[in-house]
Amino acid sequence: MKTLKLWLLTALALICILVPSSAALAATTADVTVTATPTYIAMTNSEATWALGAVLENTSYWWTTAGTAPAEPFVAGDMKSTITNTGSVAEDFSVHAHNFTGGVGWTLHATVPNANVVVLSVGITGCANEAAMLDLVYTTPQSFVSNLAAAGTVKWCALLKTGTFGDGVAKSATVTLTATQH
Amino acid sequence: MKRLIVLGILLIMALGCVETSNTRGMQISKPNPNGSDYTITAQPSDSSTLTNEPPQDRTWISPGKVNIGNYYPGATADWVMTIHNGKPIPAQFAIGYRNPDYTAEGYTKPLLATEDWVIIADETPILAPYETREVGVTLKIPYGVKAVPAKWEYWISVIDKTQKGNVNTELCSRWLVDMR
Repeated sequence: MKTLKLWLLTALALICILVPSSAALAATTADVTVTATPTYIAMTNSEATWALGAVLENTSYWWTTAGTAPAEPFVAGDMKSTITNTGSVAEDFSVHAHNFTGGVGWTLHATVPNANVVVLSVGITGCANEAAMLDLVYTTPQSFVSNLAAAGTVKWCALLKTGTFGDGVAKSATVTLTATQH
Repeated sequence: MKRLIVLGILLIMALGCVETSNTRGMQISKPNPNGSDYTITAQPSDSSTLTNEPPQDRTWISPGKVNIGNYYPGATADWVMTIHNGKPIPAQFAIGYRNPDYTAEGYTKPLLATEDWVIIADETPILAPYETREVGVTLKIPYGVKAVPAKWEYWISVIDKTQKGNVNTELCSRWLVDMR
């Protein structure tokens, strides 16, 4: 009888120690999940460079096939570059840019060029007019193309409006196109 | 009677001493001795294999979206991202945490500190021509962190640093987190 009591006490102690940790582990195992669908994200952009050369103050420069303002609304034939969704699913594309570097630099502004301030805008086929283009502001991403199907393409162009210059040093900026799964 | 009790004790001990368990390709370990964290290591199952063969001559990443469900501060969630260099020359990539440009419906942007909680195994890998490489990404929010949104999203950015020109491309994987 004494031995039986001892066994019962031992069993009780073990239950108190082990059962709570076992229950906690089971709950975690059941609850946390990490899943992913087998997709891949890829894109191409046909034109990687816009080299303007010498530019004038207070002037507009178009990055189109003809180098001039496109017909409105924008038509594919006038657009300079082509984005292709080379991934396996529909993708969204956003765009952002950094300020121009070199010498005193140029700051991107959303609407009005000024002293060392320029406006850099982008637009796609179907864009109503120049005013409807996206004006890029330093590092702020903007939605550019939404829900482009796999293998789908969209054509785009750009516009640079210069202000007045603080120096004659060459300037450069980078525009980044970002692809994500829709 | 004694045998029954002994059997009961052995059963309880067996249940309590299980070190790990596998659930749908996900391995969950018991807390480490000096903390209350669980390690959740998810490996893509057979069904995660890319169904459409990705192009060899295009740079791509996979997967496009990762869903972490019932996450909680203190847990560690690991996943492997695949990156392919589609160029005939070696390419250095920059892989990093990124605040999302937008979020899925019902999801919010992450807390500012999230950048510190996302660990990328290799942030600047150099891939040989047409090489495909797996890079581990870990989400580890410290135990006790409050005010984490119920549903939030962050991105992992992959940029080929050897791109030429002034129009660059960036590929992002979206990570959607649902808190417990």
